[in-house]
Amino acid sequence: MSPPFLRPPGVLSEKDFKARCISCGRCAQVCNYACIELTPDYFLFGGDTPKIFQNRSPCFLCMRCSAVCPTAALRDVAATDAGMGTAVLDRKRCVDYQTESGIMCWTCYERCPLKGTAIYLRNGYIPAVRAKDCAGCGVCEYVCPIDAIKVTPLRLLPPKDGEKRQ
Amino acid sequence: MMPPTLRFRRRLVQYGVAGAFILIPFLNREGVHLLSGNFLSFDFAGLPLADPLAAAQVFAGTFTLTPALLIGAGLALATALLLGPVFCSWICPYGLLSELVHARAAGALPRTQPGEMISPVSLAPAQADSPHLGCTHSKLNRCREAAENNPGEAAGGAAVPYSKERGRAFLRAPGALPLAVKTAVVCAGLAAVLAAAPVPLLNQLSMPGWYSRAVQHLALYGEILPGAALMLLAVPALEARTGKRFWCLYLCPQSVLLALAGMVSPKRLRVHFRRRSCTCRADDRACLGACSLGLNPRSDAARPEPLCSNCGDCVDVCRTRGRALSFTGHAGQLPVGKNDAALPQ
Repeated sequence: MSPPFLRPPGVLSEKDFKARCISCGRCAQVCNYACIELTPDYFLFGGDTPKIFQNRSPCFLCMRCSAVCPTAALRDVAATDAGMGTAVLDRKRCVDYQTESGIMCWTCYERCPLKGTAIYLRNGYIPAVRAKDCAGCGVCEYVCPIDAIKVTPLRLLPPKDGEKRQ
Repeated sequence: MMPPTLRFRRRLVQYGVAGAFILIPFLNREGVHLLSGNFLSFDFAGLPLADPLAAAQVFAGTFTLTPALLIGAGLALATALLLGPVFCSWICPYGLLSELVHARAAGALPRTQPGEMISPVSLAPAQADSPHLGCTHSKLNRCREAAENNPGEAAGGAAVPYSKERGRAFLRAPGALPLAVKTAVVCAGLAAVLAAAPVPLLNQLSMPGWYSRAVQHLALYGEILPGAALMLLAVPALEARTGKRFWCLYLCPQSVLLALAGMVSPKRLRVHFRRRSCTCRADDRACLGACSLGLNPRSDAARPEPLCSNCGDCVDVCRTRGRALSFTGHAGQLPVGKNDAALPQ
């Protein structure tokens, strides 16, 4: 099974994205960090749609890809509205939550492109994710030394109240 | 000195475009983004260009179109409206590959030269009975006289009277069936997108798309795109085997909208046949043989042949003969070359 991947920033629902993406590859061509991979969705002929494998190279929210997308498969939005997914922090694994460890790692907090908003310090010293502000870029998952934080892609998240998504 | 042939100029453009689409992804990789994209959607220094069929599929799937797609597809269709499907013969890199493969496959076939006599023995009985057998370029006047007296046979085809029949002649043209097949493929693809298909399926049948996507992959990831490798090897191999450009004729869905747009305006750029000027014998099929798509340039149809992409190969052949074939358009008759301004009337 292929590792879970993210869609680039500005993506709407998976169904809408696939209906709009024409595999022009411009998102990958303009990506500053070469984190967008164009791989077929179905065997050889499923169209090369852009994917971000956050374990290999996460998105740094430069937002150039969504600005050039000609079909609005990726909407031209601000980094805070990237909507790629949501980070979920495993408190049982995160060393910052193990008070007896005496370690203050903070790697996810320090590296988060939306530092202080998406990942903030609860009580001033324990990293926590504010789901509604998280862009789902995957940087936290990439930098976490003990795999205590994972990003759930938008397409795997349950629809919010009143939101139609397939 | 003869001016360069249309084919020479066309090859320059074709090789230039094919080379540019190899260079562009590598320039993009180095941070130069003045030009970006592939044959499905391209950005030319801020000017959007798009495959009209890709735009149609997005519209069928979402009932919305972005300004970039609308403008890009509109520009492509407007070009076809004025110039016919010139993309296929002047721009498309797969068209170039297909032509080269076809030329190689057909290389063994004998070609007639101006004034060359064909032995009556080698002709079919009906052709051997032609009153113009033996008519050569040196007997120009006699041929013209014969052509005036019996225009249909002199052209090597059935006489088509100037009537409604002439207007409908394109239905009997060699390109009618291939266009119908391609249109059916496009309709099926669009219907699938409308019904349930999750992705724009017809993009997977875009050979220029595969070409540019293959180079994109190579530049971005240093990998060969398996689907592109399969398509770009298998389809030309099949065309070489069959000796026909069947993909461009029967399958290429990208050319359908361009061909249909070209049918809208009867005054768009097209190859015009002046029967009176034709000096070739009925059995001399040089211009017909020059058309790699197997179309008939000696057509009296009021409307342009939909699949004719104005490559000019037939016009090139005719340049050294009676100059009966030339380009006409909104601006009237166009000279074949810079030294050909005074065409024989």
